[in-house]
Amino acid sequence: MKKTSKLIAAILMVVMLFSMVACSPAAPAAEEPAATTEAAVTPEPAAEPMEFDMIYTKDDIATPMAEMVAAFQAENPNITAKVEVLGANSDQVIQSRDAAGDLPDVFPVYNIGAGGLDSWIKAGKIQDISSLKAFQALPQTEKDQVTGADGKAYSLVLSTTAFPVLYNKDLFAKAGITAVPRTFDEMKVVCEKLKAAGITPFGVGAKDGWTVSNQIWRAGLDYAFPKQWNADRYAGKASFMDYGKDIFPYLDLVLANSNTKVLDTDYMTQLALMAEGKVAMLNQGPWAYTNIMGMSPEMKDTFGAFPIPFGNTASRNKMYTQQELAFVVSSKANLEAVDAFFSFMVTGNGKDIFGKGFNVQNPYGIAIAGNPVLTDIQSYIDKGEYMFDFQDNNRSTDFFMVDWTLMQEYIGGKKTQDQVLVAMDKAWDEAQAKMK
Amino acid sequence: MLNSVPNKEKEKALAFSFLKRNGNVKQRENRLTFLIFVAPILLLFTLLFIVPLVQGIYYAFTDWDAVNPVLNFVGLKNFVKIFTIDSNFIPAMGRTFYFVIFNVFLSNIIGMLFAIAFTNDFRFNNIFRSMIFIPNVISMVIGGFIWQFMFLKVMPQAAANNSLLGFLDQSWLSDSNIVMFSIVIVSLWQGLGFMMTIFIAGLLGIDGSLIEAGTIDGASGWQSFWKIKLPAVLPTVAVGAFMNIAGSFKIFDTVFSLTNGGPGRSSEVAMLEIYREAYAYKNFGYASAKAVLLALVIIIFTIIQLKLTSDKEGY
Amino acid sequence: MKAKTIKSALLTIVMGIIALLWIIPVYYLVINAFKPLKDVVIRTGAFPTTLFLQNFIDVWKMTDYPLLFANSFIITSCSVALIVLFSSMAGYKLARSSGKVANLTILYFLVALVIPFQSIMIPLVKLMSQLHLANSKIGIIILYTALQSPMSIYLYYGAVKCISPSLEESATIDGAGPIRTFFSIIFPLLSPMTSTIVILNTLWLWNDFLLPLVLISDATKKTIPLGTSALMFGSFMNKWNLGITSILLATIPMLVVYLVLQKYIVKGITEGSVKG
Repeated sequence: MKKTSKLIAAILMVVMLFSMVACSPAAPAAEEPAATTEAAVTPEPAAEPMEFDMIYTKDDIATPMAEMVAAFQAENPNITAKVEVLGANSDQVIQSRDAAGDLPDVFPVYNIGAGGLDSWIKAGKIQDISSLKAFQALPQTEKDQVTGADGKAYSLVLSTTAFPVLYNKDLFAKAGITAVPRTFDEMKVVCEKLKAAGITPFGVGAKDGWTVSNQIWRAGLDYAFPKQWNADRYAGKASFMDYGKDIFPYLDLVLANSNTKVLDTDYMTQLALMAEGKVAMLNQGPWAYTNIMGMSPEMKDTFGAFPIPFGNTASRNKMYTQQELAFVVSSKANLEAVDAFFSFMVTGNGKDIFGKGFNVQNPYGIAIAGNPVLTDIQSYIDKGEYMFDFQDNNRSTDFFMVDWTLMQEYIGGKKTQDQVLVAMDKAWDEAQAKMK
Repeated sequence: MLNSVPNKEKEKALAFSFLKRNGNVKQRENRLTFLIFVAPILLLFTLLFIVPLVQGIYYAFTDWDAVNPVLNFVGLKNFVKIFTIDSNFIPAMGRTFYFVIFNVFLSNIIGMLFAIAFTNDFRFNNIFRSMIFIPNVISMVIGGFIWQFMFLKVMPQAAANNSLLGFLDQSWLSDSNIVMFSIVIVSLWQGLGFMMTIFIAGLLGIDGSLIEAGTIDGASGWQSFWKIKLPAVLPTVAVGAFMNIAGSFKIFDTVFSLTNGGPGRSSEVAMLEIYREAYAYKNFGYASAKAVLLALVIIIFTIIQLKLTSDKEGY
Repeated sequence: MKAKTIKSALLTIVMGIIALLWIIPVYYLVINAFKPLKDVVIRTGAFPTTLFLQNFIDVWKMTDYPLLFANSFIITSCSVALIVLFSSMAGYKLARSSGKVANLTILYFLVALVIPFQSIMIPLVKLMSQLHLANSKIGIIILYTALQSPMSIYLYYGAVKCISPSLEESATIDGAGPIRTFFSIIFPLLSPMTSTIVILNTLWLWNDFLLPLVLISDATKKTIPLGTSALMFGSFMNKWNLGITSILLATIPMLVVYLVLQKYIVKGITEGSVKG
């Protein structure tokens, strides 16, 4: 007994001593690297030292972003740029850094929700960015989209993304399909041909609810609902019943022609089905292509994209796009440094890295390099056959969880089409009532 | 019957020792030691837990959106909303109860069985015990992540390869009737090692002389368990059960990584619902009201449990 | 004698089967660290066909692993040492006091186990930054001590209740002060519980994600779970293969800690029974 206790006491003593020793000198030691980099980037006494910190969530551009920051620092040695990528918990980080009075100078708007933007403006925590050079460089239509009635703009959209159908060109060729389906009926034929060739048409990963609710249902809202509907719904004059039924035929077609056990299939498995050549189509965006390349890099030219054919009028089936890299700026003091970085990225010498590295659809006319999915999407945008998502910008913040859960219930047979639409109306009213 | 005698005597001795201490000087000395032993952590705890807690409770009576520094006091409005217009929180509480009941009963019973088994002497005792404890070495979030593989891939594959294991081919995570039980399974996998360890520590803390006295009196293994070990280990069981109940009500990580509340909302437990209200919907004041309600429910159940066990323990 | 061998053989078999079932998920964790992403997703159950070490190389390259490890080590060890010190003393004193104050104090501490952490999180973050304890290793150590001690106090409280007070009585009669009595007589007796508490707290703090997530934004102060989480649960990229690998790397030191300390629980037991 004594031996044991002595041993434990000894271990505790060692740990405590160690930790005390470790606590004091290790702290400054850990800060050293930061100090040295700062020293390294301030050799020019002429320029006034500036700094900013920024977080972003688009982690598939982490490597080129690091390159971008390095290139920017080399050109602007007087500005210290701290740019950090965050994972799926960015909401909590932003919120707690705000609580700590340590809000990053630049952070993604995507994570603060649509209705959320208003409360940030009201709280005076984000700045008007209409004076930024990067904003000035935008085409007028893009500027108008984010400018309020008071002439102020708060979010800077660097890139957009799209909600298309991704398809495997080789499998289409194998099934004898020569053109991509542009209408619902053509899509039906494509499914039959693929099945005849022994290929499962669609990969669905409904365990991650957003793969259906974002990629099909939301795009469907843009397809089926007129722009006025949103305002009417807020006024209590409209219902999801009005147009909601127009989305279901396509959804049902996908579900009827998909892999088995879709509710047991998650996003990554959905992608893997595509990467293995087991399914011919996915309702996914460009990010999915990037992920698939992480699994099967040899298939880099195999995939393409076309607009989701919800209905039988080809001209109504558009490429649905949405803001992707979009930021708000919280700091007035560091606005100049932020301005320098953003204009470096989209109009300065960072343009090259932006085009080749980020490889994103953007309003600055920066060319996209060697990504067949993006090239396809861009071709529809160039033809004007696209629609910028308006539903999402104008919906109460808590709604995305609602369509996600309802889609799963619909797929699981727990709710009929009518019940889904009624539940959406009810959830909308409930969200409004909660705000009051 | 005979076996409980030494216990009683001990209790008497305990009571007697306190009587002896009742001198005035002793009392003052006692207060001083109380200060030295308890006060530092008491202060630290008050500052870093109770102070933010009180502030959090205050938010429950406001309409704070977590962003705007301006907030309005709304009285009991948030609480009224929970019971009138909110269609998600009450069902989420129901699912939480389901989970708590299964998880607490199963983990206490199985945990005690494991602990009894491991306090016996047998080959590889140590290794097996470590193996059951291993899930605690891995973080909860990752536990849920691995089990996704287990439920979605490994189990169906095992069922396909072996007809004896056919029962494993269930829609573990997509059938709304099964999904909560799947969460119980993962939770047991993660938590039993902990419960077992606490129980083992308790069983081993029992005075050896008690058991020997019992053995001399001819008590069989089971008799000695029921009459000597179990009563003696009850304080530890009470501790284990207490933490288990509170922890089960607060289940979050496992659900978050395993199902994220799905399919639909069929595994959306209270903490997940509150989390979404606060961080996805930004209704921070309203979410705080829900958290206060949840805490009240936990407190009620804990008091019931403490009453039940402390009656048996006699302290 | 014979009955005893049969019983122990039976126990070996039964507990062996259970233990094997228990580590099946861990087996899948380990084998998938040695596979490329596609195989992790599709052939999750299959044994790796080649010795694929790229994941380990990538994790090493993409994160500053030694720094993360050092931070995790400092934060965990300091916190655990403080937790053991504070909570053993408090747990002991509370278990040995019978007054109203003591009973209320233990109930007061129990609040910590009841309240969901999320509901104090935002005010806590505010408070920590007002106290200049946010974004600091010392700050997070102090916070862990405050938040984790109540549970350990309660565990010690239960353990002390199982120890007869006669030992310390005689020490007091011999003229030893309360602090000496505690450290020389009671604390050694509590060693099985101390080992348990050290193990449990070490594991929890080592794996804790939420608190560092909301309190540490400085890259040089990040812990292993925080520094590697973006690999696993990205917003756009899910590199499961790298996530699994980083978890495995983080788990190995904990496994060693557990195996080393677990022995002392057992030793405490056998020596205890010999004494009896």
